[in-house]
Amino acid sequence: MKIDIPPLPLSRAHLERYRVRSRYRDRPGLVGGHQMRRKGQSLEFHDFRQYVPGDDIRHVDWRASARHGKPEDLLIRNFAAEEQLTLLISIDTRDSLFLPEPAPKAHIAAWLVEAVSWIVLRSGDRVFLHRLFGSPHGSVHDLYGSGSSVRTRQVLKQFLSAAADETAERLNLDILQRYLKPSVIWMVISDFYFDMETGGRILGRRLAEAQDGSRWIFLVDLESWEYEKQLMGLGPRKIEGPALPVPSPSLEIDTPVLNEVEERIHRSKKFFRDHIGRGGFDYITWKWPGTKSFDMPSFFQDCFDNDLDLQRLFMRESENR
Amino acid sequence: MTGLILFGLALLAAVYMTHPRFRRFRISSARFFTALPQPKKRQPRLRFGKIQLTLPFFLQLGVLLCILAAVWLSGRTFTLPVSQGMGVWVVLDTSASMSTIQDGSPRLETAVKEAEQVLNRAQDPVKKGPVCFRFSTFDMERRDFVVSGNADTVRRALTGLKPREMGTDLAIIRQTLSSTGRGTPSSPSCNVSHVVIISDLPAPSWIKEKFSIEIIWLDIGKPVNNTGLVVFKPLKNPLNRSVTDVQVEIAAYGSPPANALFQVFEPGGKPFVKQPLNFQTGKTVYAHFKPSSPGVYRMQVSPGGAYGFDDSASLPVSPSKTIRVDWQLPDREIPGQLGWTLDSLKPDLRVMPGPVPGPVSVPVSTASNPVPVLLVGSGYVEDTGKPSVIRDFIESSPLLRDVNLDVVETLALKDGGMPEGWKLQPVLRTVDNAIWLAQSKKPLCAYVAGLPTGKDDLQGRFSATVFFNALRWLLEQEGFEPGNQNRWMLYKDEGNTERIPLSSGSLDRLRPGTAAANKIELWPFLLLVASILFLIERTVLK
Repeated sequence: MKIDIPPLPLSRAHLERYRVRSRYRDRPGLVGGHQMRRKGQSLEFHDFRQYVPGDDIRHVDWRASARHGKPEDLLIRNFAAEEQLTLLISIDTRDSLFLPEPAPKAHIAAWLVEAVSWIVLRSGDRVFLHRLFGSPHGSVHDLYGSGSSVRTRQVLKQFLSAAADETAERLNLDILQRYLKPSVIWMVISDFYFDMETGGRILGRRLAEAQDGSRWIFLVDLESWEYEKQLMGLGPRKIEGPALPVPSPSLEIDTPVLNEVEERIHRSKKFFRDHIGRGGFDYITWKWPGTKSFDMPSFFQDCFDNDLDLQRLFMRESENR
Repeated sequence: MTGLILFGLALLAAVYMTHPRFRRFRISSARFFTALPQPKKRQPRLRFGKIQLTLPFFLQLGVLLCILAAVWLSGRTFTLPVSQGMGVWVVLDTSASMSTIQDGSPRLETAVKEAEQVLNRAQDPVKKGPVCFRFSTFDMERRDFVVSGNADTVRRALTGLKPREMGTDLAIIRQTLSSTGRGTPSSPSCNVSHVVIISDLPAPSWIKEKFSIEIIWLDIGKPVNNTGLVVFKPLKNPLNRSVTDVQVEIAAYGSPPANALFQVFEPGGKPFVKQPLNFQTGKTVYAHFKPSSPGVYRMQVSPGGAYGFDDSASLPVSPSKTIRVDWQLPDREIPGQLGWTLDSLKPDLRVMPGPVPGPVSVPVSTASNPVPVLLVGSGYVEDTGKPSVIRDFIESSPLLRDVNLDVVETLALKDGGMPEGWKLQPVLRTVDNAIWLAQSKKPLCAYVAGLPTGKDDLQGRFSATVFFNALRWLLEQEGFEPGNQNRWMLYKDEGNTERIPLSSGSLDRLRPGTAAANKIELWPFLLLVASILFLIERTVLK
């Protein structure tokens, strides 16, 4: 399926403000037990790197900065024990992400990946982009350094433009073994519309296993049901979409039918969450508004700026931890 | 059929009431719509107030109507107009009047230039399709120069055309137009669609009649001044055939000349008559002269004006001569009294006894040498004790000139009866079916009941009157043979040069017409439309 990703509705300045504001805040207590590698706590000097806003001012090597850098540049001392933040983003690229047609979830997913990756890469950390479904070939891309933010969009285009094949509904998780190191934050962006007996159960089990390695699991649920409900309205309808055993069933849509579908979606997602395991993970839901039309860039910006759980990804480790 | 249509419409409406149109929606949550329970509250199936007036409904309605119309109109045909090329027939006037000098040149030159213009306009390759040409001339006859050809062929035929010393017979043109059309091609290789007539005559009124082809009449004549002879008539003595008087009519067209002169020249060339023409009282002047001796007399009008053929004419006057007669009656006294010469080999007149038994023994009429015949009956009865009663008569017959019919009823005929084999028309007949007078123009023949009796009584005067009436009528019918220089046979109006020009149509009408192609059945097209509508409804709107 081919799709054009509209430009990210957030400016670089907006993302930079978001990043600085997050780094100056302490992360509150985590939902579940997971490990975050602490930076700069070793006494073994490793190398210098350029200061970026948000770094601890105490780590600035003033002498080295005066000797080598430009007047406006400051150098930060890196120590050997310091580990980088690694964010593994798994993005769902199934057909359902390209719906609903007036406001596809893939747009929001791509923008979210682009924004989060930019912030992480800007902080000197590492991003792995992973295609959650389909062929494992070319499904993981390693991004590192602020210059890699340009590649993010290219990888996203590659993921979202990949032709659908028989593996499109097959989970692509085996390839993640070598990327899921203990300190990794695993973010999964999807609508979590799964076939429970296969997709939901498998992904849930893998997420539970990842939790066992003290990895931070962060699930972003793109939920468009309310919007699609408004689009359909009531009356005779032919329903089309992915994973229908009978193509285009003709249905008399009324309120009980809609309630039944909503209940099924709710049960499906609950079933999935129940299979993740302990429950110690972050699960945020971005719900499409229940109107027939809305402005997608505004919707994304609103979700992105006001989601505190998402902001926690970039906060500083709290002192009391 | 009306009921069938209404039934079809009702059926279609019912389908759209009971089978509502399902709108299609493509949504991401489609997988959760499988195996849904049936809604508890079902919608009523037949909803008259909520017929789905969707595009598919109208398309299916169109399909239905097309099929019904195809059934209704089966057998009906229509004709498809198909653009064709042109067949242009140029018909040029070559009568004597085309020699009239107009703007310094003969009218025929103007007509030829107009014909060139016709060829150029018809050949415009952008606006016209294939063009073929015919070319003919007309005067007293039609002459076909090009039956089928191109413009260059016609141009070559136009070269060297000259006016002919002939009048104009428009009946030829009318007959040509009536018999020419697409349905009756006069040339197998060039179907005439347009006829362009170029003449110096105004378009006749009948040109507006409905012909099957496009007709354009171009009058190239302009009013010019002309004076000339219109007609002259020699008067002859019927008994000796001498020309006793010549009556001449002279007309002026346009502005009459002030010093017009009519002259007659004797056979030797000496002026014989010199008469000034006074046109003050009218545009026609009459003159006459009496030839004094045999020979060719030449008449001339000066100044003649723009048209030359009516300026002069010649009249041969034969010497007076005695009548040669083949007299087959026993009484031979009369020829001597009239001074006739008896000649049975080359007679001017044959006189025969009336009741000729059996087939005609004498060749009285042949194409090369017609000899008038006078048939004479058995005669009149001396004693008129039994008067006759007239049954019928032809009042206008020249045989009855100066005859008092009351006298007839005091006379009686001897037995004789109608001569056989002559196809005579009775002129005077009595109730006893006795023919007194009869005549026939072809063969030229007259019948009288008897010879003049020579007595000075009613019978004598009647018999002499009808005898000489018959003689006069027979000898008057003898043809006048004009010489080469005579113009008296010219069409009377050829010299009329003051007509107001009147054309009909213009060269803008030289464009391809449409002709009806073969008749085509209508129903297959309706079914085709129905099929297309059905295809759209099934595929495009799916």
